[in-house]
Amino acid sequence: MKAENTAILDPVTGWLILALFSALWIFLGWLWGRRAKQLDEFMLAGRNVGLSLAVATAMATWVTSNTTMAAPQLALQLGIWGMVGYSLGAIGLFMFAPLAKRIRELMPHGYTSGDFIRLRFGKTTWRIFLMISLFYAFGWLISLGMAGGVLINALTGIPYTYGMSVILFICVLYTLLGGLRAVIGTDFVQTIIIVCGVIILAYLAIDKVGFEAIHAGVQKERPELLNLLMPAAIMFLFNNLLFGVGEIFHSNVWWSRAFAFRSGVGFKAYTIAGVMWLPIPIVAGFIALAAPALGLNVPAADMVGPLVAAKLLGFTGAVLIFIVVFSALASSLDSLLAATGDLITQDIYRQHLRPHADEKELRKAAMVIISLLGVVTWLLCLPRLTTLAELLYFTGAFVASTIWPIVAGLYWQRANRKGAALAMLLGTCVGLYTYFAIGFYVAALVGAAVSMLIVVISTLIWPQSFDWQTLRNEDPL
Amino acid sequence: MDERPRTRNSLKTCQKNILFLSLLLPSYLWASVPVLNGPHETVNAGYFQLNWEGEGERFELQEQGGETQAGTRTLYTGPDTASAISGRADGSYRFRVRQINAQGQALSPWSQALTVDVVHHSLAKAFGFFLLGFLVFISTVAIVLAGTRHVSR
Repeated sequence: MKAENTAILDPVTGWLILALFSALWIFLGWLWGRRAKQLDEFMLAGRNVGLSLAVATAMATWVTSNTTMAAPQLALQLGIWGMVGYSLGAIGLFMFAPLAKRIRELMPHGYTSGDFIRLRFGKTTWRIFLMISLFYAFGWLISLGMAGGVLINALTGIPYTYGMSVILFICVLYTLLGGLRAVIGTDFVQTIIIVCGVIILAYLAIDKVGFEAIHAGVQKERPELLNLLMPAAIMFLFNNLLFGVGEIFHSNVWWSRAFAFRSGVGFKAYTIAGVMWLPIPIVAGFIALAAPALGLNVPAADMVGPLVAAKLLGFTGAVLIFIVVFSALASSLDSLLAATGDLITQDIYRQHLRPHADEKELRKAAMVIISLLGVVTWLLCLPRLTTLAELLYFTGAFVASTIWPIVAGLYWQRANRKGAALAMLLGTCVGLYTYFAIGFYVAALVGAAVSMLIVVISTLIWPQSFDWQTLRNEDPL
Repeated sequence: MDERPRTRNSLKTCQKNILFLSLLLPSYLWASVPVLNGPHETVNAGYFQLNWEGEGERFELQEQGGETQAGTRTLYTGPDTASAISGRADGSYRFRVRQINAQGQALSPWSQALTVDVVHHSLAKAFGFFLLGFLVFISTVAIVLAGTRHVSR
């Protein structure tokens, strides 16, 4: 079914923008990544990333298609609290700041989040963690690929398959060219584009429609969105917060950056990135509330942001939102490709298949794995099995169940492997049950709560003494 | 032998009559009725999506019901074939759709009405989950802060 019959831009304009920005990302990827010959350079940018690039990459990676498209969607569905609740995703960045410092100190030679779980909790817990982490990574990759295809189709009329294929191909190409160094460099440019674009759109929404008209429109057409006691929205608040915390705490996207940032940079970088990211979902979500005042039909909730922007600004707005979301998508896709590539190279290829592989072989393997990731993601994106938000929030129970095993593993000497494994398994299962029984807005919350309970009780029942030196001594290569 | 021309003549007369009568009838009797789809279960979060299938170029979507909207109102007229509905209070809402032309004139009868019941979760349940989430969050913050302080010592 073709829900949106009115593409704002013509396909030629769409292809032109795609070609222009694709060429830019590929050139920058080549430029910044041409010296990444060693494995450490390719996977962790030489472990020497300074503060400004560190802030930009943390922020740009966290501003995904989910922020620019799902934040307006949640404002449209859950109102004020949906908008505010989404911005609580910044808490994950704030809370990861001290963790990043601790990770860098504990594992100066670490490569992946999998390294930590394997050394801290043993192989069984590590394998459970890998399954969760890879499931989440694929969920996120597919949601990004799908978002690219949906956005390009809605704004330009270019068929979904073409748009999705182009965006995946471009991101795979420049990640291959330069590894994490290229990813971080392009993230810097993409951050500037995203921040400027969102500010311009919010200003225009207020200037062209006005607060009073927006408020009156929502009150008349969708009154519950202004209700601060909307039950689903109240449940959503901490669910989204914990989902964000789970995403950041477990994902190798954030761990690889903790390893890549220069010593002493991680804490400041994640804190500043959190402060800068916080207003983005509020601004992006606010744009959605202008829809009733504009008399705009929204065929699918996740398209409300681009539709309002295009309605407000016509051709210019559509071009602007296209560039902003294309940048947001690329900044997350490349990070995720690089980090998931690292995780598979280090934790599956090397640890499971080729334990004696040298640096050169691993460098080649990393490139092949990134290419394969692109191909698998492309194949899974082709059928458009589900919607963006459904796919994203389905992973909530999985990632939230890793919060406590990771935090306790980093700070509690007595946290044990059995408790960590049980916490991840039971947290995921109970969280998934509530996803189907109640709704997406409680799954992460319940998963985190169950996981917390198991970690606390298991630490009291089966205390284990862990030698922190085990983490420091390990040189994965 | 004389039967055939007479039959042919009567057939022609009949066709003319049908054509004449058809001009008197509303044009939408020839257009197919759109099919409106939406949630079949009770909606607990206040939002849902409606979509419809039909042959026309433009459609009109109407809503009736709810606590504040007693009358019928047009929600949308245009080419889209779906609409994301949200911000509805508890209540029973009826929706229907029809094909229209560019001037807004009906080209088909209204679809069969679709009734959507909105019953929000109870506030007790909502605050129960809120409290649980708050406890998990505060505990996580506490363990990170305590751990960081302990390590820095």
